[in-house]
Amino acid sequence: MKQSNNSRETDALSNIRIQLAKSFAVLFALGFLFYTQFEFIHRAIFSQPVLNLAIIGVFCFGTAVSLLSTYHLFGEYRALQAMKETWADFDEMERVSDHAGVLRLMRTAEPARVFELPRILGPVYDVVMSELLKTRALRASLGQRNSLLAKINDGINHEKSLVNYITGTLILMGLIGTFIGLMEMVASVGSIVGGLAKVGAGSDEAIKNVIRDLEAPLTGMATGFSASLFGLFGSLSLGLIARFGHSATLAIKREFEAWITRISALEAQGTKESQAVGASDGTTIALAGSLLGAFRTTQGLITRSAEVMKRLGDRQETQTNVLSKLVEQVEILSFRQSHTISQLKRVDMIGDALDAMREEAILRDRAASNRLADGIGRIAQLVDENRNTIFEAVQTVAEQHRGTERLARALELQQKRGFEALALELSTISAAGNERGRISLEHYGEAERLIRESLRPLDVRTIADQLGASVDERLAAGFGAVAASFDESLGRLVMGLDRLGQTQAELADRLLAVDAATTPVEEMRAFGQNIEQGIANGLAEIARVLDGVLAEKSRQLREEAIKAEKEAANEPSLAESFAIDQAVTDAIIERFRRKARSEVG
Amino acid sequence: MLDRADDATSPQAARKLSKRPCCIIAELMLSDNEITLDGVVRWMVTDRALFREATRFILKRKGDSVRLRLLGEDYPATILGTSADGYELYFDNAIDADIVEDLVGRHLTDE
Repeated sequence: MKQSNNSRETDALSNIRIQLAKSFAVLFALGFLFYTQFEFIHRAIFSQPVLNLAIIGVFCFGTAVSLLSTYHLFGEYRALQAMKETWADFDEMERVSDHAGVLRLMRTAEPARVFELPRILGPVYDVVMSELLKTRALRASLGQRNSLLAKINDGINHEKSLVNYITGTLILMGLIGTFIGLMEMVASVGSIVGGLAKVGAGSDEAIKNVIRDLEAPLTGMATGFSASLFGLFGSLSLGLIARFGHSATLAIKREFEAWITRISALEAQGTKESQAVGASDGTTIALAGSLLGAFRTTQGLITRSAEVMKRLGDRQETQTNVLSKLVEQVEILSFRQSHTISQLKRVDMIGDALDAMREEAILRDRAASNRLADGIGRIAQLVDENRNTIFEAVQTVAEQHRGTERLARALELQQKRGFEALALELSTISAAGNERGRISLEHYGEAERLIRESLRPLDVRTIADQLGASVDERLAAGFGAVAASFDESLGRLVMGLDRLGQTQAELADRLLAVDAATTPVEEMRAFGQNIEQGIANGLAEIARVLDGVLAEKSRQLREEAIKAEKEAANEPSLAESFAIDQAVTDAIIERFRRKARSEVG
Repeated sequence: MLDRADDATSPQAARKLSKRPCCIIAELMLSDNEITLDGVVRWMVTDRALFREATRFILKRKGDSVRLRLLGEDYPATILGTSADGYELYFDNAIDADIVEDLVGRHLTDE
């Protein structure tokens, strides 16, 4: 079997060499033909040198591409041999239980053959070697085989596509040359026909002209024939060389196909055993092949695992030391972790205590705020009450002032009426004076004296003093009541401030006590200081505002008292004088009436 | 190609070691397709080594990132070039000279 395989491999390699030799033989034949027919070829080339040299250049390029493609088949062959060798090595290792691959490693003593990644078998090489090196087996199902062969066919078609294109290009270029020659020939037909007409006249010159004109179509024919010759010959020669290369490529493909088929047959090795027991069912064969492949894969994995275990055993001592150190580190880490946990618990307890203290401080703060609000409310209430009292007192004073004004106006009115009545009486006396001249003259002096007395300014100062004293007494009583009310309000305010001061001091003491009990609680101490400072500032502000209010009220009351006193000092004199004037007028009128009655009587 | 690689200098190499022939069973893991090539290390210095794959046909590689596994230890490296003697590797991190001498000394092939 192995010998057969070797012979097939040798056939593949020799086939490549043979096909390559055939290609060179064709080239040699072409060279020989060129050498023997040099003059003809030379003339053919230079009948249309540009086109013919272009055709020859394209032919040379295509030939080089085809030969290189055939030469690269050696790389394809080496890649195929690498795949086959790798699979055979793994298969041999399993069969002889050489899991370490000693026989395989023995090859390292010899120089290797280096090859580049092939263009046709490249994708197949990647897939197969990856599978082989990973699993140490190659399970190729029918579908996988077809897929691999399709990849190879794609590579072959891609490889020969350029040569096929060049072959077609050579034919096209030959046809182009043919057409060019035909066009030249047809263009010269007109002059030839004209020359033939002149030949009929028998002129020697006409014959010479016809002969000269015949050169043009002949030249065109040479162009067409030479281009067709080089194009067709080049295409055929290149096709032949490409054919040889393709045969070599097909040899590689057939070898790969045979190898992959043989692998599948070996993977399905259980087929024969199954046949021996009479089970020739294809499904069973496939199942047996799959099971065998799986078994081999598992065996390979077990072998590799055993190697790994062996290496692990060699390194067990080191691992033991490392593990012991690791255990020590873990113990240290555990101790540190427990210590950290206890520290965290203590921190947690401190946090709970802080939370409780914070809540207590908040409650105290709220209580102090409530008491402060109560004190401020009472103060505001007292201020409102005092304001009402002051307002009532001011209203009383204003009422008294308005009464005084009404009294002054009534007195003025009475005085005016008295003077009018006096004037009336005087006019009456004057009218009766003529009749009672003597009596009038006698009592004139007395009447004049009485009138002068009546018109003399009275001593109203004493009455004004009495009235002022009365007003002073009533104002003093009113202001005394206001002052007493203010004193009472101030007393209550002072008591409220004292209570607030006591509350503040108590709160400060508690905060100090809390501060002393929890040394690390700087936050609570700052909080208590802030509360104390805030309450003190608030009370100072309230006291300052109340002082201002009381000072303003006292000033207003003092100004109103002074004003009322001044008005009381001025206005009673008018009323008093008004009342006195009324009494004097009544007395004068009464005297005149008595005198008149006595005179009548 | 390999001669050019010989001219490469590594500042990490503490001292210059000679390329003494040895035979250390090793594995070359290709980072691209994660396949492992088995073979031997034929010589080794602090920054380079020659890995011979255990096959008659070696695919030409250059510039591939690989990891050379020596006695269970992985050494990241790059393939400098390929010759009939194997793949010449350039270690990404130079190996300690004592380790190299110990490895090579225990697996010398001719001395």
